[in-house]
Amino acid sequence: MGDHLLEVNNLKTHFRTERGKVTAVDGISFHVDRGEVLAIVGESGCGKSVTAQSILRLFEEKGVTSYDGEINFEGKNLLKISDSEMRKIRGNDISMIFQDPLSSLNPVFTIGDQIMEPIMLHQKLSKKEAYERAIEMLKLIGIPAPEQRVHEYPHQISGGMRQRVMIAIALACQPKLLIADEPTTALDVTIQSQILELIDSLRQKLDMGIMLITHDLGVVAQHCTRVAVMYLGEVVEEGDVESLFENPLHPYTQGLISSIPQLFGNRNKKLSIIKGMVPSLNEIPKGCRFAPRCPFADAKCMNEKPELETLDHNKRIKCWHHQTIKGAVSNAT
Amino acid sequence: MKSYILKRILSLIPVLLIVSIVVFMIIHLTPGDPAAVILGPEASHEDVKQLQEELGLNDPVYQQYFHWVEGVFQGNLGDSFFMDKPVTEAILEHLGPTISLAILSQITAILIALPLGIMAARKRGTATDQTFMGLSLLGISIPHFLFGLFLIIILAINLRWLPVAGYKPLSAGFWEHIKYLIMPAIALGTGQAALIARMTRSSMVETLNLNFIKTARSKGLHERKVIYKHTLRNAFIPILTVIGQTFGTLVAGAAVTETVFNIPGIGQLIINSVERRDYMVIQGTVLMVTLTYVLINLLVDLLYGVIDPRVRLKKES
Repeated sequence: MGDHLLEVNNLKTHFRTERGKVTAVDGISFHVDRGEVLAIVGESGCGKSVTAQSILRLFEEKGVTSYDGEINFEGKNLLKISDSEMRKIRGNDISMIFQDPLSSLNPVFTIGDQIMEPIMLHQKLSKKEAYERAIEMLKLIGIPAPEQRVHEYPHQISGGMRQRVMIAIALACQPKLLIADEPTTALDVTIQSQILELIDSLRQKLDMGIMLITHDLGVVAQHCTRVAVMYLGEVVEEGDVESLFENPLHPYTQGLISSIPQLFGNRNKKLSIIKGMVPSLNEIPKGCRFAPRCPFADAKCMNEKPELETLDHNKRIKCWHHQTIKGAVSNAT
Repeated sequence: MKSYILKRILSLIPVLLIVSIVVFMIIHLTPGDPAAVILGPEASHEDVKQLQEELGLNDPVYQQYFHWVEGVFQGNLGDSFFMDKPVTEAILEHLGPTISLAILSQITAILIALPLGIMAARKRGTATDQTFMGLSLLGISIPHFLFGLFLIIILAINLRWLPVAGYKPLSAGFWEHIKYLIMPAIALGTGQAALIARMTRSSMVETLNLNFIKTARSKGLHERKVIYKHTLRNAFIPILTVIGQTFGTLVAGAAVTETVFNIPGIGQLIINSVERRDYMVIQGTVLMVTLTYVLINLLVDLLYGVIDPRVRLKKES
């Protein structure tokens, strides 16, 4: 420990709302190494995006958001450094791409301007040098006729192209860590795989760590090294992709995996669903947070909070009964 | 951009046509025979008949209209009976003070409104925000003339810094000219500022919640740049619209304020002409004011295109 690129320890993100303080991310820990892809998976509202934006402290509005815990990046605790130090990291060492490429680019500036902005800011290049870099970036991400495209505005290009531009902006300063918050959710399936392939090849080229936030387990299986499954602001299971898919231990992970539609096999088999709804952050269950929706829950689960246990092979799990329900899925299918 | 400008200009034609008809009809829609009203109750039947003939009131209405429009295109709006001079000349005399006052008021308004609106948006929900918005409500609620009277009491009577009322043209020297306009400009400007500040705040708040603002922050930009470069420009279209509207109102003549400060502007001209039933002047000023409104709106529309590429490039892409 300690030599990871990014190490998040017991991070908590609180928001002050009209209905009181809400803890959207509640004590999560994980790490990302250089060159690896960590997936963060979970339903909407489980705190994935909040986690991502907390790392860059993008919520900072005084009196509204507060953080606890540690986010260590190259030996610095990002929660403790000054605003100006944080700004030097944003877009330079850690970059982010967002879910909706249609609204993530500023409509009144050209694509070139938007790519040049972080280059001029962080690398102190002249406008001309930054312009050349922007063209290079557009070539790198596979946009045809870059000399022409730099002068165009976001509304003149397609959604897939815009997400490529977002990637160009994010990678313009060759960051060490890329946080991709559902980068392909708003795109067509064919464009999706192109974008993910692109991110993957750039990861190898630049040797950067990637934190990929998604709810698409297919994407996880194809592109990621490790997975952390989040539920209601907590990490409930974490492990290598293979072991997680082959041998999911947490009932929630099992539920997620068995709710993926299968193209082949028994077509009459009903798609399994996870019962119930994600509770609101104002009414968090007292014991295990998943207990009200869990098929294996008993009195202990309802009343006592399980801790995140570390098992062999870097696997971590937060469930009272993972020993007993192990393999329940493989028997059932 | 060229086709956008052309389209905007062409779209003015029907507007101007309707405006010209309405303005022309003023004289025919007001009750009573214009000639009789102009000459007063003492006039003889023959005099009225003669004036009707002179004014062409016996011709068919459409002929009168074309005749009038023809005159308008030649810059001839008729003559004022009471002032005994062409309407165009009367309007030009009163236009100077009104335009000076309008520009000065608008500058005051923008200088107050933009910083306050932006600050309120950045600190939305806090005490600062509520204080600014409370102040702006006060600014909208207080009548301009009342605020003007307070200013006269404080700045002119107690402190004796500025003249109580009156007007000196620009030819009398810049400071002489401005000196008389400061108080009316503040009185008018604060009211307009309140409107602009409210629009600035709400438009900025809305824009600050958009995704590309998060992108801008995630690039590592300083908050100042995020606000003034990325947010303000996107939030500016509704702000510009309000600025255009308030400026239009100012050019139409702030009648009451001009009266309080005794400024011989368009507002005074309109009030006096209405009192005297000086139809030609009323027609002329109303036409001039609507024309200014239309032109200001055209300018605002063209500026939309400058600010937002989506407006000017819509057709081409």
